[in-house]
Amino acid sequence: MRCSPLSTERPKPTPAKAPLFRATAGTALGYLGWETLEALRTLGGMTLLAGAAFRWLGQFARGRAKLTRFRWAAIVAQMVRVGVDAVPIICLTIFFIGVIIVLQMAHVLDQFGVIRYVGSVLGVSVVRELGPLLAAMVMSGFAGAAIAAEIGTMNVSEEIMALRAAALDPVAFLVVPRLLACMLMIPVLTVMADFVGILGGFTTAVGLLHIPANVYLEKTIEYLVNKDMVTGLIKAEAFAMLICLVACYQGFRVTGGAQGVGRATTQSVVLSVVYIIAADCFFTTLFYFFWP
Amino acid sequence: MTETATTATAPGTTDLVLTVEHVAKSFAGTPVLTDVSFVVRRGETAVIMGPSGCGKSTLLRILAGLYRPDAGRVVLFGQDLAQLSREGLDALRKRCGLVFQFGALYNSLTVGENIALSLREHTELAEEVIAIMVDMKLQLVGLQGIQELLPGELSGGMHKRVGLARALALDPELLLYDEPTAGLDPVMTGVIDRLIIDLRRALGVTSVVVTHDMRSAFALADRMLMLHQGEVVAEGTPQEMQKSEHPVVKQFVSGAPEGPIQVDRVVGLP
Repeated sequence: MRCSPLSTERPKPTPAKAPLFRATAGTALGYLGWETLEALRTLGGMTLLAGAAFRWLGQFARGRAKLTRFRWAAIVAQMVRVGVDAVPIICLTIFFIGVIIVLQMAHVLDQFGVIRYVGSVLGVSVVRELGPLLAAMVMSGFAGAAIAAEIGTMNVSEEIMALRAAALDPVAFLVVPRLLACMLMIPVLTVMADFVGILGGFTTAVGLLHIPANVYLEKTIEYLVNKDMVTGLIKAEAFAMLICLVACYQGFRVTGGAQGVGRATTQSVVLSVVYIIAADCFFTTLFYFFWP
Repeated sequence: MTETATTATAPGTTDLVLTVEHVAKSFAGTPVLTDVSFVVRRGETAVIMGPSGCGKSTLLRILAGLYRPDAGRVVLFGQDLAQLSREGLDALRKRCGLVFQFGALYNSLTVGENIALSLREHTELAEEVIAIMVDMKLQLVGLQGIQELLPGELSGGMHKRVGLARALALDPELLLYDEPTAGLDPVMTGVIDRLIIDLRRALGVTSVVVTHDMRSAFALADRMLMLHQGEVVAEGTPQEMQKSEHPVVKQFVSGAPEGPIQVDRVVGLP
């Protein structure tokens, strides 16, 4: 029997470093700094997560990782949850937005005597901007929150630990199907949003403003170019990646039970809205100068 | 497999499944493990005892390669965990089964899918074979025919047994149990203890059991280790531990409220 001498002294816990938050929370500048740090930390974590996910996809493409039937089913299930379930809400909101823009623009355009161009204004703004943006916003509420809550709950109930203990990579298992689902569904949702938005404007213009249907459609198509659709879709893809990665990252770093899951869910929606707008601004500027 | 009686077995001997040398781990500046060293030999059941929050679960997770120790070395099946690539670590994990304290079953999957997951992902077996194997694993833990149930529909004892069946899926050589009987009634505790003993007898698996349940500790152990203040303070056979004069062991075995183990010290998993 082996015995080590029993120390009577209890190990002294090293003093926990005063969290930056407590030291700075009182001031507005401190708050701003804290939030910036948080956003940057999330961005860093997301980058690592994206790296891991794409590395896995790379291995899969080279035949070094396999996708079992079970995981194909997971991807399809995620596509339904992320994409199909969001369809009604996207249709409803973008339809209203089409109506709103046409009515708002009608007066201005009428003053210039070009009310027939209302279709062009709506078409361009929906396809370039509002379609992708709204699809992404709805997706962040639908998919982002669900992903963060789901992965967070799995984290709390040690399911992620169990996956790792069974030599199953949580990134391949949880992040990859969700990322693929988001990235595959967002173009579909965006194109759908574009059509429904234009339809909303069309019904208003024809029904309320008495613009001839053929004039409206003609003006809509005349001013839309391929570039509008392509830039819209590029932005939408970026939004989808941001939404999924923010949500996965927030889910993975949940600590502290149900409260932690709630916090991660809120944080993931809030952060993805911020990131979406920021990315939108970035891409719009980029396209403005480099792809006029 | 004969058991060597000498404790001075040199590391690297094929008989050793697990060697832990001076492992330390702290969370957010709070030391949980300070200096833990022990070995586990092939075929034996080692029980690590200690009060709640003394770092037993943390230790088990370090053994499974889930946490990286701040200091020290863990050698599993002759391989140093710190030296391994992720693929190497995954290969070792397939040879270990970790039984979680609360089961940690995948809640969105049925019992059958929970057990089949490792088989589907890590083997090329046909679905029919996997179905038979799942049935066999459930039979081992005495729960046939519940493949279609969801984890939410199971009782606490069933949860733990399904967790055990899942850990057995790939026929591991080493089983790591985290509090296998905590929170169960005495009868279910007896059932689980019997199950662990039977598994060892039938399959010859090496087991490391972490527990604070003294009854099951004495029922299961070939060798017992007492963890206190982040160190292994005593080690011996159940008989030796029963008669031990070591103050920590004595207090823990008798369950005395007064002694070196102080209950106000709450250090554990974050």
